[in-house]
Amino acid sequence: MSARTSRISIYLLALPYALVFLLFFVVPLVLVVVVSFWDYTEYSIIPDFIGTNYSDIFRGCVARLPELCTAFATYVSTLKYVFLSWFITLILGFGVAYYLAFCVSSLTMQITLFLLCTIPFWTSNVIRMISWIPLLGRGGLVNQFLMNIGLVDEPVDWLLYSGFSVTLAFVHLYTLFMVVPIFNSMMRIERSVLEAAYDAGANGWQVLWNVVVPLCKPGIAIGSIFVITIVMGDFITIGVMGGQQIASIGKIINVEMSYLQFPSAAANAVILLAITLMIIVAMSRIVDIRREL
Amino acid sequence: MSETRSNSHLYLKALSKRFGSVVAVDNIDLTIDAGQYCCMLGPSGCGKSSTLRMIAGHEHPDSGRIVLGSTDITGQPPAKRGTAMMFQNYALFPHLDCVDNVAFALKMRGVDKPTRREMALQMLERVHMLEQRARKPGQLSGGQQQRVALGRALITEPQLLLLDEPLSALDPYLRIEMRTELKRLQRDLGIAFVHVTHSQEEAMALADMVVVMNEGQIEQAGQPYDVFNRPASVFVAKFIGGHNVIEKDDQIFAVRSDKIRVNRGGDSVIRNIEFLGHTVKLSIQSPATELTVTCADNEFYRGPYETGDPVSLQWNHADQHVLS
Repeated sequence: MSARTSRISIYLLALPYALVFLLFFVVPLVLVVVVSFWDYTEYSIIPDFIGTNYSDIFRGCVARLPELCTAFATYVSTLKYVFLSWFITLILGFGVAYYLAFCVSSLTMQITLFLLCTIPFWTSNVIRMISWIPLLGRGGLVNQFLMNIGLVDEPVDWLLYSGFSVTLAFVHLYTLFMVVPIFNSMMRIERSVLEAAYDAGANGWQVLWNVVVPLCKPGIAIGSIFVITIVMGDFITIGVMGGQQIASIGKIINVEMSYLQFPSAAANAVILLAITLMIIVAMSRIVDIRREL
Repeated sequence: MSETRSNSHLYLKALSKRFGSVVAVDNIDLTIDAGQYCCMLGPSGCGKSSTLRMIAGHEHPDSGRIVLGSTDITGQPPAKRGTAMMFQNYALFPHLDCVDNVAFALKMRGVDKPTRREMALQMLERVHMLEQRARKPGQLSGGQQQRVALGRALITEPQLLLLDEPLSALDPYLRIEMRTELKRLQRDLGIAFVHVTHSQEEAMALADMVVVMNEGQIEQAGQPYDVFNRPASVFVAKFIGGHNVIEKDDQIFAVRSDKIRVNRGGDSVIRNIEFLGHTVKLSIQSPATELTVTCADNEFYRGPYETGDPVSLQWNHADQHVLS
C-alpha cells in the first residue's frame, strides 16, 4: 500500500466518528449559540441578532446587589449543590479509591470490589433516585426507625424534598465517577515510591499529603470535571429529590423550553456552558490532565 | 559524628522471615563492620532482598534481632534507625524536581525551606547533579536518576546505606562507571554500605565483605579473595563462577578454571571455544564430566585448538580446594 492510499484510509477511518461528532455535537452547539441571539414572542421565534436574551436574564441584578435577583440566586443555589456534591464525592471517592488501591492486596479482590461498586449502575438514574423516597419520606423507613427508637417524636421533614436529599442523591449517583479516575491514578503509583517516603521519615499523613495526593491530582481533576459538569446542568435530580421546590439553571432552561422560549433557554445554556468551561479551564491550569490520558 | 559512625557495627542475630509457608530468611547471623562495603550476593529468591528490607525496617522479622551500634533497632520505624535505603528502580517522587526529591526527608522533619534547599543543593553538587536540579525524574536518564536517589538517601546522614540492586537497571557501560563511583562515595563518607546484587562480578569488584546467600541461609561470608579462592560449599563455587566442581574418589573439590592446563591428545574433547579478549574459554567434555578451562590468549594461540580436538587436562594438587 502506498503512502498516499494509507493516508486516505486513515482519514476514512476517522470519518464516521468525525461525522457523528459534527452532526450531534458541533452543529447543535453552534445552533444553540446562534438561536441565543434570536428574538422571540409568545408564539414565534424570529431570526435576528440581538443581545436582549442575555441582558434580560440579568436585568437589574447588579443594581439590586447585595440582594440577589432570581438569576443570581439560581446560580448561587446551583453552585452550592455543585460544590457540596463535588466536595463530598471527592472525599468519599478518594477514600474508596485509596482502600481499593492500597488496602486490598489481591487483584481478584480489587476487581470484585470494583464491580460491586458498579452494581447500582445496573438500574437507571431515575429508579435509583426514586428508591430513596420510601426510605426518606415522612412515613419512610428512616423516620419509622428514628421514632421507634424514640430519638424523635414526629417525622423528620428535612430528609426528603430538601437540600439534604438532593445532595444525597448527587453523592449516591456520582461518587463512582470520582472513584474510577482517582483509582486509576493511584494504581500508577509505584509502591516503592511510598516506601521511599516512609524511609525518608514521613508518617502516614505526610505520605498521603506529600506523595499520594499530588500524584492523584490528574485523577482528581478528571473526576471533578465529571461531577461538576453533570451537576451544573442537572434538573432531574434536583427536581425529583427537591420536590420541584429548588431552583437550578438546568431547571430554568427546562421550563423555558417547555414554554417554547428557545432563544432565552439558549442564552441561559450558553452562559451555563461558559461558566462550566471556565471551571474546567481553571482546573486544567492547576493540573496537567493530559498526563493521565 | 565520625566517632559514633566508627562504632556502628551492624549485627544480625538469629534473623528469620517467612512469607506464608515460604521461609525467605532462615535464622541468619551476620556482623557487618562499620565503614565496610558489604555485598549480599545470591540468586533471586535467596533471601538477600528480604534481609536488606528487614535491616531498613520495611519488613518485620518473625524472630531475631537487628542491632546497629549499641541500639537494638528491630522494632523501630525506618527513619529512626540511622539507615537509609536506595531502592531498585530508584523510586524517586515523580512529581518533585531533583532539589525537592533530595530535600524530602528534611521537609518531613520540618526543616524550613531555605535551609533544606541549601542542604539539598550541596548534596546535589556532591552527586554531580547540580546542573539538572530543576528537572523532574521523568526528564533524567537512568544514571542521573540513580545519582538523585543516592542524594536523597544520603541527605539524612545515615550510618548505614542500604542499596537494593542499585546497578541492575543501568546499561553495562554505565554500570561499571557507577560502580566505581559508589565505591568512591563509600570511602569518602566512611559509612557502611550494604549492597544487594545477583552479579558476582559486581560483588567482587566492590565489596570488602561478600555474603553469599542461598535458600534463606548464608553460605559464606568473607573477603572477596577468600570467597573466590576458598569457596565454602559446592553452591558458592558454582555461583561465583570461574570454578569447576569435580567429584573424584568420594571427594568433591573445586579447581579454578584458569588453573587447569590443556595438553594435546587424550580422552577429553573440546566442545566449544569462546574468545573473551584477554582469555579464551574452552568447554571440554572429559569422560567423567564437563569442565570449563580459561587460558591466556597467547597460550591458546601458540598452538590454536579447534572444536573436536582431543586433549587431556592437568592441574596441581595444591589448586584443588576440597569442599565440604
